[in-house]
Amino acid sequence: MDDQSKYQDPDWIDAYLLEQLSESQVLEFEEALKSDADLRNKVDEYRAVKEGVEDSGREELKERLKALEGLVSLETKVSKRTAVWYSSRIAAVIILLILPFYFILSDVSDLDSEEVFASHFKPYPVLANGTVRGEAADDPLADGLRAYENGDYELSIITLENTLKQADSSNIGNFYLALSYLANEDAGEAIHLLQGLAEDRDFNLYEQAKWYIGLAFLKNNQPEEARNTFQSLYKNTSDPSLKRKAERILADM
Amino acid sequence: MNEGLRNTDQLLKELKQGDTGLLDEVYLENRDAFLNWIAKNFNLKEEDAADIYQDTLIVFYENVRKGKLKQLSVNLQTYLFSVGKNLALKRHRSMRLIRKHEDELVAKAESVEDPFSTESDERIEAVKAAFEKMEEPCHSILKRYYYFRQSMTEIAAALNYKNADTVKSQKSRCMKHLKKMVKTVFNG
Repeated sequence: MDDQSKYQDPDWIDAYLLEQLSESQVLEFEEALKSDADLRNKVDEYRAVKEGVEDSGREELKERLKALEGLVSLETKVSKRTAVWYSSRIAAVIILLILPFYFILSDVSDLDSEEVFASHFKPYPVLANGTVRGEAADDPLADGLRAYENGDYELSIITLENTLKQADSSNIGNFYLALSYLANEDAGEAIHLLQGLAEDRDFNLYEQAKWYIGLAFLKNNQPEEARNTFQSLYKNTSDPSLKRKAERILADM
Repeated sequence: MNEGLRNTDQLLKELKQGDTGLLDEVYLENRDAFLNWIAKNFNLKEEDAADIYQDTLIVFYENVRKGKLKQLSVNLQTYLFSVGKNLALKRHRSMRLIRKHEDELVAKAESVEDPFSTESDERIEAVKAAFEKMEEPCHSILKRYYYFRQSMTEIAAALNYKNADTVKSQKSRCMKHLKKMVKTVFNG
């Protein structure tokens, strides 16, 4: 490869666009750009890909932060409303005190568990977990995961259930099936599926499974079981991110 | 501040390695202080302040991922305030300009033709539209490479590919495929 044509190599173009070249390499490359119209076209093509992908990634991140903001401001509004309610109705508390104690407790814990669940539950991403989705267009596991990613949990449940019936039991399929159930308000089924996964040390998401069991307990209004699960996760996990999540949710409970 | 976020060097390192959940934590940790500060200093509505805060976090995150921010010489909150201040000033200036010279700006915009920039924007939009329709593994490889700035080796490890060269060949196929899709978008 002569000196001039080496710059046509996608590695050079990417390195230039991603600002990974040294100063002298940038000068070399830009010198080549001046005299090579083909190279300029190719760089423009690659730049458009880079910027298009960046725009898309940025928009996705923005949506995620907006959703997080929505949850936080909702939480703030709920607690403000609760504070106003209490301050204006102190007398009502006296009435509440004469009600059976268990009733008050169960009522309060219903509200708390649901709120804590809603502010901490996020479906586990398919793309960030190190698993590969099937490349074939008719791969049912890939179809199930795609439905899950699109938030169509009813479809992902049907597809993943069928996949698991046909093939050997797949941990990944089971994991996303459990999360689909959880997102689809069926915490009992989610707990059932996740328990096996959380005990399987060979499954690389077994600690994530434990995290979601805790959330499923919250959703199922079993705060004590949820607390025990998060405490055990906090104590035993070596993943700093999960440890922080467990710490945060325990503080919220 | 949360024990986990006390060490900013560690935080930057973990964000660079791809711990996106950590960004949510940074958001929550600094949200109230930022929103109070920016609302007070720029007289912003609640939703505008939150919008600027989200953009601030995105600038911060992208700088970390691109390797432009490896260390902080000030604490994280001061850094976020400084980015937020620039974004708010920029927005404030453009709003003032739009209000003050709306007619002139419109007239000026209409008289200046920049076909290259228009074409270039269209091309990026077309790439974006095609990319968002892309199937796996291309969508994920290109996103990891260009947005999250992961190396071929990191992508190979994350997506269970044999090695970096295999990802490189796959990426090359994806680029060709994307190019075809973009052509279809352009040709309607």
